[in-house]
Amino acid sequence: MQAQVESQATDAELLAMAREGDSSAFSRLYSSCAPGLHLYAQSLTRDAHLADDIVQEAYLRLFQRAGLNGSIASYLYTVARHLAIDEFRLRASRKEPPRLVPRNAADAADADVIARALDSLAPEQREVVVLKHYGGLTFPQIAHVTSVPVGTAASRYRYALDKLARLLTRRDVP
Amino acid sequence: MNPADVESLLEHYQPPPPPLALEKRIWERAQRAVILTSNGDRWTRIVLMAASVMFFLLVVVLGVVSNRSPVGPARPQDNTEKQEAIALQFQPQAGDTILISGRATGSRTVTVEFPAQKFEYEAAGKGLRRLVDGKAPPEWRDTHRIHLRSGMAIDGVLGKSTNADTVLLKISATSDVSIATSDIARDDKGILRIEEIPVPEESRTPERLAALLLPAKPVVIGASWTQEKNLPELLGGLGPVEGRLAVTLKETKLVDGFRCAVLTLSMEAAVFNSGKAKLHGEAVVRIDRGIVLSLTMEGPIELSGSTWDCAGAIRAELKEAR
Repeated sequence: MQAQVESQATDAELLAMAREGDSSAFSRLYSSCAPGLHLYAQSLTRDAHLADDIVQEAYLRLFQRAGLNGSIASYLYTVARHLAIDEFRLRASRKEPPRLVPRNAADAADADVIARALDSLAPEQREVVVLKHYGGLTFPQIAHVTSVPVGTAASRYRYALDKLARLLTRRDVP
Repeated sequence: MNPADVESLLEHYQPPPPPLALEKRIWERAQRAVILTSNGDRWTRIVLMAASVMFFLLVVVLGVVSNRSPVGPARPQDNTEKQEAIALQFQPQAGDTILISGRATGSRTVTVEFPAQKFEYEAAGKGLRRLVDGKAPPEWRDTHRIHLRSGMAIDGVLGKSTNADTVLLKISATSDVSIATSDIARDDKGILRIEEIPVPEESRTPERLAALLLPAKPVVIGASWTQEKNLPELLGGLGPVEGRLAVTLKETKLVDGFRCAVLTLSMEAAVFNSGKAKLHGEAVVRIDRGIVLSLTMEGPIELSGSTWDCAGAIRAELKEAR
């Protein structure tokens, strides 16, 4: 029964429980957002170690943030973007494009191709694809995170898909 | 392939999980962050803050009233028991690496008497040292590089002391600083030099520095403790430094997001066998790791009969285990 109640907890409830010292609530909050957040941070900085720092800082700010309105995921991505662009970009010293892993073993062969195709997109297009697919954000949330109108976020996504389709059709992936 | 196919294809993949240690690290720091900040919402914090201010004002008012009371003077209160005792122990995590670097300067002013005129000159010395702990990664391995320069130069005009109308004097001389180490070279221009002294693997400077500064048991703010033994780390590891070091926990503060202890230092010691040092300074220590992040000392050091105003700083760069 307890597990069922916990499984229905929203992110906000998980955060409140984590603030009270519930490590399992934090673990669930972490596992729901951290992989996408890490991928997003690495796609912005191209540095896995910096991505670690950004994810850590974003979660710490979430913990210290009182009276948070709106989506926790949206908040984490907004903080991560701010950190990556304003505070951490100058520290980036590596060139590590983000990686993807297949959900099924049968797709393993193409994981690297997909990741490189994604990496070849313009940064603003790649950002929208990562936020949409791997962050699970809606277009209004993406628009909020990236500080652009919703229409712009949607069109960037559309252009990104067009380019990915061309690249993957021709297998013209760098 | 069309855009819809791409969307479908992207769904077959997911981001790799972040490093396993990251979740644990965030959780540990988040708990500290919550403890250091108010655990409630904004209004709760505002109310608590207002209550704190009112309580402070109440204490002040009561203090003033009790001091004016005819019953008697206010008694000093010991708040020690109400404070949190802080444990400061050197406990780096496996994989941590610590780079230590230090800088030092020294200067003095001496009056030289010539038959008819006095000249004052200043001498200055600078030292730069880089120490690397034995466990440091290869790119951090280094040797000590110390450059000491001392001497004097006088550009002056002697008039009455000679028969000539004016005589330009240009004097260069070495200072009489001496440091008891065989690795110093002196050339014909009087420059003292130490170069390329290999760092001994067993030096473990961060650990020894912590052992010198940190108390044996948890302490509250305002508490003091002393060390009486050889303290070479406080002068960058040069020569024997025999004396007494008094340490006081002054306060705690956040440095780069980490809770740190600020220690005030006061030392009187015999240095380099024949010299004397009377130094004071401050150290900042990360509480969770017990690692001395910075240490500054300054004050006079008397060497071979001359007094140098010295200042030095040691800094530690911690690269945490991932």
